[in-house]
Amino acid sequence: MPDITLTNQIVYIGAIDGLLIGFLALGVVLIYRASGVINFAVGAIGVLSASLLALLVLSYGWPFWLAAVVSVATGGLVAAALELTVITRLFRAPRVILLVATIGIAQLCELLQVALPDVETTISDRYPVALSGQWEPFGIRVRGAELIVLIAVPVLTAALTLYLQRTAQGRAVRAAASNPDLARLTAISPKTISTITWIIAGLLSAVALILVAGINGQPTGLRALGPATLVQVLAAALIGRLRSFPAALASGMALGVLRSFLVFNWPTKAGLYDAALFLIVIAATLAASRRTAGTDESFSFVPTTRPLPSAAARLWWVRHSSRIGIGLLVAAAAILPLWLTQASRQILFSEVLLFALVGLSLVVLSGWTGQVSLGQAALAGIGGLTAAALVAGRDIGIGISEASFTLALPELHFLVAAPVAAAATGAVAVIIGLAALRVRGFHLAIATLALALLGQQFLWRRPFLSGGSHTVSLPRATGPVDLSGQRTYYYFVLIVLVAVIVLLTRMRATGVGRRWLAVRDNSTAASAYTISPSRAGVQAFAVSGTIAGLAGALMAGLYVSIGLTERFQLEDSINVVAVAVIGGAGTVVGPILGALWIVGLPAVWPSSTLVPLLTSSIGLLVLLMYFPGGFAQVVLTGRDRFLDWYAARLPEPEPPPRREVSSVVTRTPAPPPAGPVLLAQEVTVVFGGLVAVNNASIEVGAGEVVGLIGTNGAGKSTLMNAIGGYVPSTGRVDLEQRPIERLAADRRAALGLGRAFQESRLFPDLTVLETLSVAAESRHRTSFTAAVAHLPSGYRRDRAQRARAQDIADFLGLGAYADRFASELSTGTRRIVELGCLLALESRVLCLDEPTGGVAQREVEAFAPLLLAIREQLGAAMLVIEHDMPMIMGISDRIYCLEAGSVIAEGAPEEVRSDPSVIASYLGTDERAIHRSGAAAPAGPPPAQPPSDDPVEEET
Amino acid sequence: MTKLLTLCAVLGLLMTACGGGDSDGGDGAATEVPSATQAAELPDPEDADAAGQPGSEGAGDGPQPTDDTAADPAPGTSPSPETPDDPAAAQPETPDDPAAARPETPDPIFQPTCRGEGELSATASGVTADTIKIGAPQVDYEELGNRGLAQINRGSFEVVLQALAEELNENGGICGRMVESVTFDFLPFGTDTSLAGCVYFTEDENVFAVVGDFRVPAGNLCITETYSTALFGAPFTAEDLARANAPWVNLRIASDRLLDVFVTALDRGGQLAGVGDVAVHSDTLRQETVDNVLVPALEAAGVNIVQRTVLDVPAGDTQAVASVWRTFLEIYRSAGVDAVFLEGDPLAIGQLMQGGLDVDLFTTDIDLVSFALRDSGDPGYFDVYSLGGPIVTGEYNQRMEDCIDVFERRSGIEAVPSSEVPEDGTDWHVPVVGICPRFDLFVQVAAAAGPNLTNETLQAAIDGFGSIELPGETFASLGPGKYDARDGVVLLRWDPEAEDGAGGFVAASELIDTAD
Repeated sequence: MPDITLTNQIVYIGAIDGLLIGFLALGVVLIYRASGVINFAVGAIGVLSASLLALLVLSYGWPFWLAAVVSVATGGLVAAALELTVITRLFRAPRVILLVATIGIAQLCELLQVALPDVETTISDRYPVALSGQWEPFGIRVRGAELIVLIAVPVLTAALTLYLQRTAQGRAVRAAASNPDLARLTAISPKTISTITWIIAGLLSAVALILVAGINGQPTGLRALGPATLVQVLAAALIGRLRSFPAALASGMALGVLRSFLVFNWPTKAGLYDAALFLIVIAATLAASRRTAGTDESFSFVPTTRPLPSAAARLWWVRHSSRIGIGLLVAAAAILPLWLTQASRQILFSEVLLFALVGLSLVVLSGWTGQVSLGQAALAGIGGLTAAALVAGRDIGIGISEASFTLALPELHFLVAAPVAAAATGAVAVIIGLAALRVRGFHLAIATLALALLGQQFLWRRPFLSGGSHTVSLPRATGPVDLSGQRTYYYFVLIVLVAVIVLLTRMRATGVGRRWLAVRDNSTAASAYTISPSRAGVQAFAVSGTIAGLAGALMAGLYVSIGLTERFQLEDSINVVAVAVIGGAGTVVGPILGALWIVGLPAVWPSSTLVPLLTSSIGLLVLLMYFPGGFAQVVLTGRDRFLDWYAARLPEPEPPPRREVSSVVTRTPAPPPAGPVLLAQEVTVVFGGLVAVNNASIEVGAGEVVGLIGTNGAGKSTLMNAIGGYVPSTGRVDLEQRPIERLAADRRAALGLGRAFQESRLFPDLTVLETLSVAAESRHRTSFTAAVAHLPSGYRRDRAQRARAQDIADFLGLGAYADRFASELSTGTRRIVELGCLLALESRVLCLDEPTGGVAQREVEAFAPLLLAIREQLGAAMLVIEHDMPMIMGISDRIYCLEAGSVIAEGAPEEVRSDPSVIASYLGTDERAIHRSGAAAPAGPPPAQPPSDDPVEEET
Repeated sequence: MTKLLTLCAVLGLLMTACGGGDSDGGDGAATEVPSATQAAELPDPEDADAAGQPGSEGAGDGPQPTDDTAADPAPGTSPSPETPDDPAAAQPETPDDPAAARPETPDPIFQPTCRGEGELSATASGVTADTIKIGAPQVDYEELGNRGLAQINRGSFEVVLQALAEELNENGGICGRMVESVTFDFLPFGTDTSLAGCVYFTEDENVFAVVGDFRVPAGNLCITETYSTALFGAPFTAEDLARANAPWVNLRIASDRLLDVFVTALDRGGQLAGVGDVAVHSDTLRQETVDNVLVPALEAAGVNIVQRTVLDVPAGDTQAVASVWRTFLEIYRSAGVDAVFLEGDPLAIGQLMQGGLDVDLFTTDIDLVSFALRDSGDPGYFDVYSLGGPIVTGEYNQRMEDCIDVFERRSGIEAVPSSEVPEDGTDWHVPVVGICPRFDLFVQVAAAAGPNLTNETLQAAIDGFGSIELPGETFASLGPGKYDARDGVVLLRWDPEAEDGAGGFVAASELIDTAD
């Protein structure tokens, strides 16, 4: 064990570097707080300014301060111009598309920087700084440029913090990220806030890179942040919880000191700091997962699609147009090598297919589960290098020093090694998925970016993967199956790609796929329908990792000689994201189109001057600005327009006869329990320092309808969320005498606790029938294995689910909307669908949060009988939050009234209505308000009366 | 980000374009010679050893048989011919001392003497009864310019190769076979285009051998390992040779042998005496070679190594590089380092200068030093020692002059020195001096292999060759396990006053024949 040393000078060196890292992290935090975007251009804008400063001072002889002001202002102006041209246009686009756009912005800034005139200087010139000289206070060598950092960074950080905390504009910036609509109340539009924050971020970036250049000293060769630095910056922002500027700054400093310490003590251990950084990011991610439990932050790539026109939908070729399109692409791919016979071209075509395959792995993870991975190339690398190790029969060293042993692996044929490596990669992906169980969006993106860095800096150097070489070989031509020919291998890859497309298409159509999409669209609602977001996420990671690993193994087979400093690098991961986003990550065809664009165009026209422009920077930005859904959106829009035109020429089909369904509940009625079916005792919910629910106790008896009333902010929804397991709480919750307070929300739902939400968002990208099928998963769960393996049982389950969903849709009169997306429905219709989901769940206790909220007043009256009919069907008890007093008074057996998180009254409707405390706190004395929705609903359950086929109108 | 890394990846290429480059040349004294940097008008910038390319690591661990015929030949003997027709049978035995076997009158350029007799037939891929097909990769400068990475206007390898092949074919070709050549434009970073080039040569064109360098180890291994095709003029390591399934010959000294030679030259020249406490620095690509060759050599020479550092950050991440280097500088300061041996890490010299560390600098990579210190305007900052080829003498040997004449006569193009090329003109000098030694090397070896041209006979010819006269090389030889041809090196010292104060390397020793 070497002596471990940490000198003051090393701490100082690390602190200076760390301050700069932390300062750059402020820009990341700022943009994220304002718009939820990961800004990959955090350094690129500043590089332009830093280069300009060197040019103005050294080449044109400008005074330093004048040049500094102009350069920093240029950073702000460039940021403003980019925001107004690019970001504004993508304001409503999924955040990951903005992420890719910032990559394009970074590339554009680099082009602008390269276009600047060369700085006329000699190498002995130093980058211009405000203060030169060197001092040694307390035995620490301090240079002028470092002293400026020591002064400027804390001062500017404090100023920025004060700006955000003390000014109206700053408060609006802070509010914008969490609630744009609320921010609008500050009279500043979110778009204006976005512009302001980008300008500030541009100024910050300019100052940061000028400081960086001053520290580094060299006036030329300035570059945007490389991957290692970028990951550090993002990690500092992550450790700072993406909210706190001081914490981000302190984190940056800590990382800087850590790096100096590790390098000083272990100067030959390559990748040591990157490995430590990865562990730190994972730890920060885990911590974030505890803080952000149940977050709905997610990404959706699904291109805007419309249902097929009914007149055209009956035609076979219209219904299968997607498959036909993919089939045509595959046919073209199959013909291609017969037309272009050069092996040197075919190898590039194979690479296009393999990038599409890696892109497909991102479709599962990002497109369908809403989790962003910036480390897919690392997973591919694990697959590729593991396959190479298996083919070579390399030994694995396990353990540490004396406790280690060597596991000798047999040499495997490539065709065996590839799937084994894919499975191993899937296992690695599961570990990552477990680490990021409840974290999505930005946190996961940074964690996977750190994985990508870990791969190239650390993992690829491990003896098992590298074999002690910088170039790994993977002979694919050994054994009885000869894949050595490029055309043969191309067809092999094409077959694998088609097989994966078929597999994924099938999975998407099963309950497994619907579960993924449900979690992506609305993880809270998914939990209410017994789906575990964690389990769905891990499954998606497993599938995604396996596909990426398979693609990596096939890539290694394609390259044969794999340069470890050139393949499976971090920028390849970014390319994969670009492939998926540009193609359209919500569809299986998207990555194929994206790979054709990003990888294929340069391969087919290597000497074209136009292609590099189209496939990077400017081309990327223009494409995203006009087609944020990627090429898939272009194709689907074209298809929709064609079908509209075509359908207009076809006779309108007869509407199908309405199916009458009298009962949709399948379970055998159980005798009612002796005690209450739902008991909540001394439930308390605390958000930060705010007590939202304070020792509230309620109970619901078998078959009972219990109302929950109170003012806005009284804690009704929070109490209901606590009962359902959607927020952390203390106290006791029993369902049918079984304690459930320690169970996750999906487990509570599975035990019979149904839930309808106030906002009734459902799953915007699922159809009504798919939504009901998701709920039906509780009774007919699709096995993951059956779906992956195409087992008959999987098909049977799927048919059963669909039949049940159709029955429920018909029972509620939703047949006409069966193929409509939830996002297309009115609020009222969505609420009926939500009630249908409760039927599918066959819940024993229904917790309904303002079931008539957002519904037109005249339709509200139809809801009470419907609710009671559903209760009748299920034989369930109900806990209802409702502001419509006549309705809640009409249907409730008992009512609780909450104020400031505590129960202030309980009893029969009339008792509560006349309770002075209730009158004082909630009802008031105005009888017109109490009766404002007309006559009270009948006390007894009417026969089930499905609503009319028209969607329920929204209240305006 | 991709562009950034790409920019850094072509750094080596840019450095060459900026006037760096190792040197080739003829005999000359150590005195009154132009600096190596000045002589960069003459060198071979296409040589992958330039600019710290990863492939510049060399083989120094002895012979690495690559096929059955060449396997384990007894020292000093050529492999036994397997058939009576085998031209290897006609080869002279390899003497114990290759230098002793040097012919007094080598064949005139491109008029090789076929060793052995036999019927011409299609003996290998790319070889017919009448022709031999070879491939030559060339950097796609036009594409580099399109991408804004480098504006370099150089003549086409294809034209040069055609001219040289034309001369050769008119003189009877190689054992009667005419040489056909194909070229492939590639980008000197990443591996996509080199992979495509490898497949183009080996599958589309079925060449017998490749003459040139793909600049990335994976590209060159694709030729020799994956496709079992001979490669002339690309750097290798001992591991590369062990993996190769075909002959692999380079002009320059393999970097691991070079490190050994460097330390020996420094020791003999007295530069290691009183060198003080030494730090050894490298990047990760050269880490193993430095640990296995340089460090033991220095220790054997009695040098006190107090620190060993390795840069593990990609060169493209300048901020991270600078950050790590600040800690390295503190390591050196705290250890009281007097001298640094430097291998790889193109940004190291700049970082040492920025850190204000006054140390002696030793490196085999003269391109990096030239790039960093030339025109620095800060003469005498470091005492820098390096090692170069015979070009440091500033004159080409007769064989190079002959080759240039051939090109000019055949093509009608004047290959004036690079410094005399007008700003908007095309530099033909660099591609000519780049192709000449490689092509000549291939021609001589292939002729020595005789009519039955296969990888096996080629390997046998290489193993049995001994001394070889090559354009730009004063001393060169091939033999069993010695597949890097150059033998002549000169110890160099950076002179900040050279070249009218711009700075440059000057010879610090006589030309050393490392075969001695």
